Amino acid sequence: MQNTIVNVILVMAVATALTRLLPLALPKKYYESKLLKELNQFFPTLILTLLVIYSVRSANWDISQINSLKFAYAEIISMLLAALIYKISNNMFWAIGISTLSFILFKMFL
Amino acid sequence: MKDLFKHSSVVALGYLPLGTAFGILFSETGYHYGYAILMSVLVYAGSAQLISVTLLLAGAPLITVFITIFLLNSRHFFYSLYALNPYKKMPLMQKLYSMFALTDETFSLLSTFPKERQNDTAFMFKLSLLNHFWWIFGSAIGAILGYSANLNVDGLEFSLTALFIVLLIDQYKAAKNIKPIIIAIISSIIVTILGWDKHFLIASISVGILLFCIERAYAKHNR
Repeated sequence: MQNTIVNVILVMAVATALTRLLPLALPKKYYESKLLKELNQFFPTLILTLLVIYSVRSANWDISQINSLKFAYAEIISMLLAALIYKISNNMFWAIGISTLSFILFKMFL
Repeated sequence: MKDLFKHSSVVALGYLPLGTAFGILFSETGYHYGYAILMSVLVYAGSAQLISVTLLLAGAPLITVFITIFLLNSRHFFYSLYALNPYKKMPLMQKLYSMFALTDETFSLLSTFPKERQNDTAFMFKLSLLNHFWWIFGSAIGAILGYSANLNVDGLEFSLTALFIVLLIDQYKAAKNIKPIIIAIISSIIVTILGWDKHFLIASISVGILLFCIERAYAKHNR
């Protein structure tokens, strides 16, 4: 199947619907499974950590150029800023807004 | 009716800005805003939709998209599990839709309602529909704005990295468990060393699950 936008949306729809509709189909004995509960606690944190790493990796860095180190610093500083602002303010929008703005400004002036 | 809007307006306060943000970010992919709206209709999952922008920009294969979204949304399984009882008297089509529409926010409302309200299936169905509408409406505003203004700010995609960091902090605060984070870092290193970069997400998720199973077996053996 080709990786078109419609296919991506359909795949996402199926994946999401499965998570929400599976309880209707599964036998009761699986609900109380200890493994299922542990996996449910494990997966979201695993995925989110990998997504942080993935989104940084997929940024457009040309590591053969010394200049790209500047963007590496910009990325790291902006990430630390996001974490710090969120820790202090507990406000998602401030944390994302200010850190993104700082990254945009870094890219503009570096 | 008044009650319906009162409860749904709380959800709208979150969905309208977040949906708009999703719509604007989606425009970075270059796809028509209609696809953003379609995604909000058929998928209706905030963090998954935001993550999809990263996956689309990176040209991730469909299998990666499926596994990432399925595992990210795995918590919804437990929301639906909870809803089996309150929704048991719902007509089948309404039940299927209401279970599909069980997002973090709608589940939060359902779990705080008293039993009489939870069992008011007509109310819960209409509430699910109205909440879904706010999400679609917010996404449409953002997507149309982003597409029409031809917003192409270099670095805007960093907002997704920032969102993941914020969500990760929330996850850690709730679970107080650093093991998944350590396992994620180790599996990323293993995948990079083995040269599986091309399928980074799916490879690192697989290695992560393997490490989880090994750690669990080891902990059980030592008990």
